[in-house]
Amino acid sequence: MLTWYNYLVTSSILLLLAGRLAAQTWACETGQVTFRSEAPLELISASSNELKGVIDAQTRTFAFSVMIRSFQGFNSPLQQEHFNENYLESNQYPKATFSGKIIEDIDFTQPGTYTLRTKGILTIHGVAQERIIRAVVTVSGGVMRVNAPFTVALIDHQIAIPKIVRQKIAEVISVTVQADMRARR
Amino acid sequence: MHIALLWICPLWLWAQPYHVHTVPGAPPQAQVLLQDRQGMIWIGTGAGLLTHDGVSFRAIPSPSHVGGITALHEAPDGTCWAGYNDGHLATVTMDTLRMFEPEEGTPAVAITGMLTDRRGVFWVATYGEGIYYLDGGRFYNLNTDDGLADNVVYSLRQGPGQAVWACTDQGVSICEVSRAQKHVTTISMARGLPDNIVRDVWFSGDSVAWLGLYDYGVCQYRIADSQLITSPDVWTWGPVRRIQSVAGEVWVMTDHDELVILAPDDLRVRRHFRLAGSAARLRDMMQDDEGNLWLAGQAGLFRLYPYVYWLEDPAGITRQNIRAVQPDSAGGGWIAAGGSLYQLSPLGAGWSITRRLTGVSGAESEIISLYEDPTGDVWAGTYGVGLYRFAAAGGPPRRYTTSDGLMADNTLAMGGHGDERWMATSAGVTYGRLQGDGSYRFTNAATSSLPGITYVYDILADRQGRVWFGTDGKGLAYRDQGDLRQVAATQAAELKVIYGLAEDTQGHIWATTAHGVLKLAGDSLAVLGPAQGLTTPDMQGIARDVAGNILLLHANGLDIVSSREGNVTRLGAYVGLSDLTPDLNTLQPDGQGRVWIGTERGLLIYTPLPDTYRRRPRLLLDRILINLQEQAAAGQRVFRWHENYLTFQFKALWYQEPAAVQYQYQLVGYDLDWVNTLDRAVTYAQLKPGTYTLRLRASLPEQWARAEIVTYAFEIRPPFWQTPWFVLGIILVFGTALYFFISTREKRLRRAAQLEQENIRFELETLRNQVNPHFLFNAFNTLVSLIEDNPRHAVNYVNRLSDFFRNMLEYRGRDLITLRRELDLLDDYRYLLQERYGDALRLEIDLKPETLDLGIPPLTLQMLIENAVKHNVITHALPLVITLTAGDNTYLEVRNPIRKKRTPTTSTRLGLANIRQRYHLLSQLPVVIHEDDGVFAVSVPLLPLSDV
Repeated sequence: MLTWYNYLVTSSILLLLAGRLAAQTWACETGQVTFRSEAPLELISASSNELKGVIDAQTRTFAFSVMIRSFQGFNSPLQQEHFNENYLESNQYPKATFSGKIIEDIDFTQPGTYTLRTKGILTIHGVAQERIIRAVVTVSGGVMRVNAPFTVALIDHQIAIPKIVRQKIAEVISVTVQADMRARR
Repeated sequence: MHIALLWICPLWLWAQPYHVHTVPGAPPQAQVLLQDRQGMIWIGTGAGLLTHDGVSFRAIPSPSHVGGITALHEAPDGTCWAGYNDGHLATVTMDTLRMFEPEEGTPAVAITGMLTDRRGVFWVATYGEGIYYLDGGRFYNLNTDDGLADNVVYSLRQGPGQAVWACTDQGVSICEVSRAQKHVTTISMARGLPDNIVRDVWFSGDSVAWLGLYDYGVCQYRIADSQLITSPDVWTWGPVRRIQSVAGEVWVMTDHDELVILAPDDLRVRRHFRLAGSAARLRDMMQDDEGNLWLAGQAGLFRLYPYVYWLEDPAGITRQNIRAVQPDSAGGGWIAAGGSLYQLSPLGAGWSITRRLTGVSGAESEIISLYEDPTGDVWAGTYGVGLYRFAAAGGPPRRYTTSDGLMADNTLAMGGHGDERWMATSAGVTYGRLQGDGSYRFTNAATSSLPGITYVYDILADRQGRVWFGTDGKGLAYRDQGDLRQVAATQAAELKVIYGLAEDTQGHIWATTAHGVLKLAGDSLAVLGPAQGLTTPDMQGIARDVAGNILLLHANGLDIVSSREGNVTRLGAYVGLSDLTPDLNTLQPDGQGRVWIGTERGLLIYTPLPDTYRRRPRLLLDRILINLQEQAAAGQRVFRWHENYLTFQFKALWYQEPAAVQYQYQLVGYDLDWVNTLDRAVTYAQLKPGTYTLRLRASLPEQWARAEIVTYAFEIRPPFWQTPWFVLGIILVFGTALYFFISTREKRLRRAAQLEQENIRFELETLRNQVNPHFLFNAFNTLVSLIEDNPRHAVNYVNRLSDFFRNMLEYRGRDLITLRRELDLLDDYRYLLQERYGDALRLEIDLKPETLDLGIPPLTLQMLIENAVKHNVITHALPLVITLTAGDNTYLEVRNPIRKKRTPTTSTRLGLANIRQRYHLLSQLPVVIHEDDGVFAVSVPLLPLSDV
């Protein structure tokens, strides 16, 4: 129920934003999401290259999403399976999304490097959290490079970790989003 | 014509009712003010952050990349927060500023307000990005998307309950949040607000919010029923910047540097004034815990005392030299000035002033006393033209003179209760009695009820029905149920002249004299003066305020004796009270808690400071310097032995008059008593190890008994060589050393004794050997054969034999002898053997000369050779060769081939064992016995002679 609803919402935002075809719409060309869990006993790092997203500079709105199953680079196949099946339940909640508004009013037509803050809803594991996420955006040669590091507390998204693996999985996960976006005309 | 003039003036506009003190040394561009819980004042300016203690300013540097400070806040944990005009945030603890850098980043626009709400959530208002709040470790944003009226927030205040109110261009938003759950309602023009732009809000309890508006001044919002009440006055003072409740009124500061004071109930403007000097450009307003109001602006920092102000009127009537005042029960009052009598009646927010009496009948007369009697009639006593009575009902006054029975036509003071009135005149006291028809009958009180009292300065009817008279020359007297009594204690020469009277809440009678203030409690009389903290003994007026405090008026201010604690606070030049030069007894409380004070400079209105405010200096131990340089850590209580040069820096907060504060300190364990100082630091050098308690107190003059004492207990640790553990350790080490010394010495002695014993045994053994029958038998046999063959040789033999025995006797007691000597000894023995065995026994000695000076136990070699001779077959066919060598100069080896006798010689087996034993006692080196390949070898160590 929640799965297709989430999917619908995200896709419709994506479609809506993409459909505007305004000069100020930027879409993800390549996008990577990396997360790191630095626990006392184990360092887990995985990334996905299947980040999708759009930014509407006119309305200062944006939407990004990534498939949970697309994360690769775990320490073992079993770990990946646990990640998908037990922790993030990617069958039920296949996507992580972040959509909202950019707080600063920045003219993206001007090349330069901007530090901006985004205010939006971060949905992971089907749990939506309002977040302010900082991003460094570099615009040059018609390409917008977005770099946004942030943290995700597992408890915020009701991701339950069995006691026995607590020493192996951090309570707060560091996430980095890197995307190259191109203006659509 | 008694009513000569009538003014009606709802608002008085000019002059300055409050004395505004420009704080010297204050920074320019002051933007925002805060008083922390300790009492320190924080000032955020365009150039950074400062703290102020009333005397000096201390800068707390910010990093160079950040802008000016636009918001300050103290969190419940005591951390101070600073917000900058470029969105940065910083925290300050222990005078150290740290930038606050959350993961979410900081705003990019100015911070306009911060607060910590009742749940502990930290809020930040911005100029353009709405509100941020820190809940559960994360920053959340609340802006127009979430229902906030506007993203530009002017000010943020904690409202009743959990709500936080944000003032914006689109109304005031009432926000309640929990994590990402946000609930916002907005009061705007749509809900009846006269102006959408709300600049500030202040709360009166939980029920009323006052909103400061941009164009329409102030309006009141009743929270329970959402009702809005607007001010009836047209607002002409500019956009409201700050609004606050001060001294029971609503104070408003505007962008035009105007301060407007409104009535809290109907929002009528009561007073307003503009800060002198045109470009103050006020930004913030704050009331401190002493009651002072602080104003921060581009031009600096200003302070005023909102509990005393000059009553202003356009005609300047209230700014004349006031001769007498009397508030009345109708809510107004009467003042006498410039030969005229004026009645002030409340009208709207201001007063109407009516001149009720002027230079009467052309005579030069002054009204010198005023009195409202229990019926509400007001009496005005003149100097020379009689006494006027103004009926409460109104109408022209009735005039009484000597012809009506007054003792004189001048009246100095009046008092009374019920139907009785007393009027003090220069010729004695007149007693007046209200008759049934409303008229008065006057008689001479001096002859009937006040025998002997003629001149009285003040009359007081107390609550017990007594009437007190402050007399000129007869001290304090009172009339109780018809009897006149004099207070005996006031008959002393300097207390005989009583000028003023008051009764406090406990029923004690206070009186002023030229030589001190008297407090009569039952029969005990106390005299108060400068030694009790009063500015002067010579008070011009006395009254009790609504809070029960005793007010004492003098030429340069007002002293207040607190009813609760008895301590004295003084209002003087620092709050603008100086050169008052008041007439006698020109202060009177009104029915609304205020006190009217007539002075040469005009009419002052005083409101008692509520008890919630601080009435005495607060002392803070600022910091502790160790050895004149490093600062002790927060909470450090233990110092090392060499950290005994301590400087304690302290300060007392008393912003009204910092120069009046005195300090005392006492180091318990060092100082025997309190030490006075005007310095704000004390240094102790070379403190001995031990525990100490520093006690500090600060006080206004002579208020020590009521001063709070700040204590700081600390310890100076003894140096390590004085610690019990160290002493114990030293004792242990010495004890052990002594034990080892004694035990080795004992061992050595024991060994020496053992050696001696061993020597004796050896000697015995040797002797026994030498005198054993075989030896002698053999020697004698040899001798017999010699005597036969060669008698001369025999003599020689006997000589050698006797030499042998003598040497043995001579050396037997020695521990060591040189090898050379040993060889000499051996020589006799060898001769004896040689004579017996001839060539069958050969002794080959191969020793280097340097070994000859080494030591050896005496007779060792003899014993070894004897052993060899004893155990082996010696024949001419098979000679026994004994060799003595010392290969490496450390061991002497005695070697012989083994040719065992067929019948083994009986042996005591003591020889070798004895040698071993002796060596064991003399040296670590063992005696080595080597037996193989048909060779028997004994190696004995050669010892340096100094060894023993």
